[in-house]
Amino acid sequence: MKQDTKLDRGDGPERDELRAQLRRWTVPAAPPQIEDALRREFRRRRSRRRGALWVPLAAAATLIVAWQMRSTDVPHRSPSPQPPVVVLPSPEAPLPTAEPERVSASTPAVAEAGRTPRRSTPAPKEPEVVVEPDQAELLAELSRRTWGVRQALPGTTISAMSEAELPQYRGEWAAVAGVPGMQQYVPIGER
Amino acid sequence: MSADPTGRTDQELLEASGAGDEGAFVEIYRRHHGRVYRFAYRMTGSPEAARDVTHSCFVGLLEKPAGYDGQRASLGTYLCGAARHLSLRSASRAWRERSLAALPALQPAPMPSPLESLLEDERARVVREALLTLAPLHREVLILAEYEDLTLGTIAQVVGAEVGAVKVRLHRARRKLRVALEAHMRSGTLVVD
Repeated sequence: MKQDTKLDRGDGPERDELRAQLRRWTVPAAPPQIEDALRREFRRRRSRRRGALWVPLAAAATLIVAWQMRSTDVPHRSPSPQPPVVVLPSPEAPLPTAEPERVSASTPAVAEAGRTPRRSTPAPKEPEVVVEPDQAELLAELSRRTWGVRQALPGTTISAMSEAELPQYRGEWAAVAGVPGMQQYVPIGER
Repeated sequence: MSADPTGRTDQELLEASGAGDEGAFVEIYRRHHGRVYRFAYRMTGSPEAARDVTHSCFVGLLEKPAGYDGQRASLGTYLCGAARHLSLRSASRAWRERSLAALPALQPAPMPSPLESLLEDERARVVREALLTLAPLHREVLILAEYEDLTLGTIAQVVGAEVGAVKVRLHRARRKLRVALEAHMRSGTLVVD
């Protein structure tokens, strides 16, 4: 706008006279103390700002050093360590052939042994049971007898055989095993 | 006022100051402090208040350099607006109280003879007292127009008003000041050179 850049000088002798009166009031120059105070303020703020810049830098450097020290202490640790494999015998195992080696991480040596790379070990083969045809028939008969009888929980002991059933059991066993002096086995179908 | 002996503009000096260049900040001060100090002095009528206002203006520039937008106004106008804001606090309070008796003594300017010095001091005192009787909104536009020779548009930027409003205030300020000075003109205290 045109009037924005225009000096409002005014016209006429009245305004010139007023302006001349106003010019009588002169103002002294600004004291130099202001500049000195501003210089001190500038330096104070600059030093404080530089100090504030060093804080995050020092924190970052400390974190880097701490991380490097930690990685030096544990040089062989893999990024995702595998937990030690603990092999425990199953309570249902009928006859464990050998006591499995228990690995615990309580001692450093054992923990180090536990960090050995895993090998794909095949599952242990169960002992092969060879059943004779007669034995199989006897087992089938035994299963028929015990059919419907409540079985004991796994791992519990079987109730003791009564004295009355003992001769019959021995006879049957002698027939199956062929123990001399005992009754020979008679097939069930021929009884 | 946009270039210094080194050829840097106000904006470049401000950026250098923000980067820690003390010389750049001092150059900004030396370039703009005169108008800020004079304006604050005439608005408050007190050298102590003018010193505080000037100091606060440039400290504010240190604290928030982003507060200055070079696209809106020049740095001188921005600092003048800051000085106006700070000066109005004390000027408004003093104007409401109308306690001219508590005005600080004038600092005598160097004059050729003691008699002339006394006369000029007396004339300056009359002008100052007449000026300080004006309302702050009238006083500020009169100071900026008559003492600092700012354009109407720049005054409008400093005081944050429309140009039309500035013209109205300036007209009323001159009329009231003339009434205040008439008594002294008639008595001969004030004579036109």
